[in-house]
Amino acid sequence: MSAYSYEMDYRNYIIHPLKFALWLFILTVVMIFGGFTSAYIVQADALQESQRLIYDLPPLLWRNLAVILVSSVTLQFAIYFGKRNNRDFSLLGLFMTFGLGLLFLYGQWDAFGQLTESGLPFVDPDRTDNSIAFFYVITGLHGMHIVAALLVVLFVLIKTLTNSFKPGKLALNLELAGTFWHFLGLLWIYLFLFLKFMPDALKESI
Amino acid sequence: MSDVTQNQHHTLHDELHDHAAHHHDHHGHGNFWTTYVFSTDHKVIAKQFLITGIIMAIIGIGMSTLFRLQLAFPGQSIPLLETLLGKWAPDGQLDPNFYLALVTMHGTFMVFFVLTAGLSGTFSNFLIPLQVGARDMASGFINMLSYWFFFTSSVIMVISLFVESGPAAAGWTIYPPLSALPQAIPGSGTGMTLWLISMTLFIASSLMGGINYITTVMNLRTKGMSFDRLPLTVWAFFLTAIIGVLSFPVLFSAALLLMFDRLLGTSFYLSDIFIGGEMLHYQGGSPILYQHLFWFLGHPEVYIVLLPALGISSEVISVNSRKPIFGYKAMIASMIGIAFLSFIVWAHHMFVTGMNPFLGTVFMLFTLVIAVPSAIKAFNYITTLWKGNIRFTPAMMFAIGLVSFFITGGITGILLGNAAIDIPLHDTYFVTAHFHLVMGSASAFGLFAGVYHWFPKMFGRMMNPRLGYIHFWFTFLSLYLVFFPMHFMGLGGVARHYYQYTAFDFMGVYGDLSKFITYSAIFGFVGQLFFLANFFWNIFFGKEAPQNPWKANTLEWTTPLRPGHGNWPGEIPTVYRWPYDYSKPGVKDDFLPQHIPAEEVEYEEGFQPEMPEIEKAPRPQENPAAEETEDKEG
Ligand code: HEM
Ligand SMILES: [Cu+2]
Repeated sequence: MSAYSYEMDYRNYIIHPLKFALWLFILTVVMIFGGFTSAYIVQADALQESQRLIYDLPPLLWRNLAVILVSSVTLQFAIYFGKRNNRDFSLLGLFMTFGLGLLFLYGQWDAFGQLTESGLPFVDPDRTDNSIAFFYVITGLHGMHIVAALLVVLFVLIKTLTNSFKPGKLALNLELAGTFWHFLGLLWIYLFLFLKFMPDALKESI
Repeated sequence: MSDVTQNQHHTLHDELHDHAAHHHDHHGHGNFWTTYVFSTDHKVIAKQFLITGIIMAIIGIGMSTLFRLQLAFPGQSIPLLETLLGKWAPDGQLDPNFYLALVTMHGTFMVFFVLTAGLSGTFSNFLIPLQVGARDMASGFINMLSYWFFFTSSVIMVISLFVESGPAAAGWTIYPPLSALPQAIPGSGTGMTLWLISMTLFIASSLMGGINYITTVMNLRTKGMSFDRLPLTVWAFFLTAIIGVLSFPVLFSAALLLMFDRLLGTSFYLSDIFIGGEMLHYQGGSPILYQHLFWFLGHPEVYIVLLPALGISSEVISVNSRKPIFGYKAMIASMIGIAFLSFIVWAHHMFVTGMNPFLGTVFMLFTLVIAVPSAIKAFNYITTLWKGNIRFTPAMMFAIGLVSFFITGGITGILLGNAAIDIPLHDTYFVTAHFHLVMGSASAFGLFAGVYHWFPKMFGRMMNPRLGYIHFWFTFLSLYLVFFPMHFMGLGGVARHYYQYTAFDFMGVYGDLSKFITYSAIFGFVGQLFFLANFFWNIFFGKEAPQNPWKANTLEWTTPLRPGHGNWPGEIPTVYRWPYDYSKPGVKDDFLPQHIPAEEVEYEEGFQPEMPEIEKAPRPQENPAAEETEDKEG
């Protein structure tokens, strides 16, 4: 089979196809978590008052929230300087983002540990209220996405460090990484607020 | 596929345009592995999907033969079964657990692996870039991954047929608690775990595919290819991909929770269960939650299966009626309507779960509203055929057959959409009849129509039409003979998924009908051999195809007979008109391809075209602002 030499004719687009594809991917992630949070409400809403669990989520989660918000700022910093060809500042931003990302993951893991120690493990046959189990599933799956996004940041970081981006590719890659990262930050704000306040909201609705 | 003619390589790298991410052909040297196996060419990937889909179909249909034998001859010994299945058919009698496993795997294979991946994977891949005028998909690499994820998931699903405790057996919808408790039935053991792993990969594959299809349609159309000039095939694939991207992730959520219930002992779907008199520890979960999550995907899924087939038949019917499609815009609007409505009707599969009757009525209302766009489509097919100059090619026969099945099966859908009718008919053969006609048969006919129509473009050779007609009549007759009688069995109360319903007197009276159905099914399977022979033989030995064998207007027929990676050797053609200019008054030929500008149209002698009025120059492509608004509309 032959192959023609050609260049993709991307003149007609308004948004770069890869960016567009990333937004579609984000949509799929939204649907996954939309599924979980809806399922959470359906189950929690069906509980009788006596079956409902009263608990507090570890305060550590507030710190994690702050960490992920700051990491978005540092990544934006990296993007700003990366696009202006200021390699050192861009690298600084990327390193900080990567570090904060790891810190966030560690914090989430820590929160799992604290919750388990306080008598609320993922699996507990004596429990009738699934909201804690949902907490683990939702937080864990969000964490998996953070791992994926960290790999993207690492990729951009290494390519910047070794100067191996083709001209023009740097900005594109930074923007893709930025969109994904900021989205995961926003997603966590939603999930955290949901997990934190939904139990009370449902209780009052009865 | 053997003409290694050109191997020109990279032109000068024009860095000036690099904001636009160049795409070079990395595989110009045509090494076997990169050309046929790990190819990023959408046309090769399409064929990989097609052939994998055909293999999965052979297995899936084969399984239905086995359980049809059980249904026709319950309690009788069929030595052949023991030869084939060994321990699953001791003394020639199918094991009850294995019967359930066969039914489950038949559904899984056919719905997901054949009619979802086999249909969208083949035709969205093959036709989207060719018909919108693109060199390839937006990301050839992700497209390749999509196929290999699908391949891996197929292999795992096939392997699950051979595990010690048998494959999954809780129905293609794998409802918990049955599917969640390994101690419930053998099929809920390893087989079920493999099912879930396989489906997770399958979901990943279809998301990668869908994202690529949408991005390509949105961003890579050639000059002049506005949304109101897109062939209906592309519209259908586009909407199908959107439905998939929105619904498959939710199946992933459902499957993940099921996995935790199975493997870690959580109780998302389980509560208050006794097995063998012993109380299990699960509390607080709800199996109904699973049904909601499943059918939120499951109902859109049935349209994921059907819409591509409808798109294919729009194209095939218009080309072979030599008439513009009737109601082009209405067709698009109905597809958009169906796509939207398909997300708010899922609970019509759950009328018997004890849902609040008010809620049931709401879902019933939306469900019945779907009949409107569906009827518009059926009406438009028929009016396109009306007074057409019809050419009964095999593809055309299958496309018309699709319309027939779509109507027959759609009508029973309207019946089932009424909660009051559905409650007694739920889980009877009436439902089996409904969805095999409207989904199984109609989509399979779309698939066949597509294969017969685009085979020349895929392989550069022609299929044998006579074998095609034989295949058509075998298939058409057998599908009606198999599924039509099932309506009566369902009305008589015969339940689905029963190993031996003759054990109940009121169902037992349908024993003879059941035999008749099984014979008809075997008659139908024999017919498929004509297709297989026709398909595989002519890939290698078929008659060389002309460049545009059906005299069609769409862009794929402007490529060389066996296009290489990149599709057009020179520039991509510009589009000047919609794809349905057939039998235009005054025009010399009875078709007017999309890439012919108004100045170049050849008219009959003596005909005075009112040129400037009818045919405008291409849309203002040079002006990017105009392009922008167009895209936003889409
Ligand atoms: C006029 C439009 C339609 C209506 C009103 C309709 C309605 C229904 C209803 C109410 C059921 C549930 C029956 C039960 O389980 O008790 C059902 C089942 C089903 N329908 Fe339809 N349907 C329509 C069209 C379609 C189409 C176009 C497809 C596929 C292409 C389809 C595929 C299915 C499938 C696969 C099932 C059964 C799933 C299962 O239980 O295994 N339907 N339909
Ligand atoms: Cu449905």
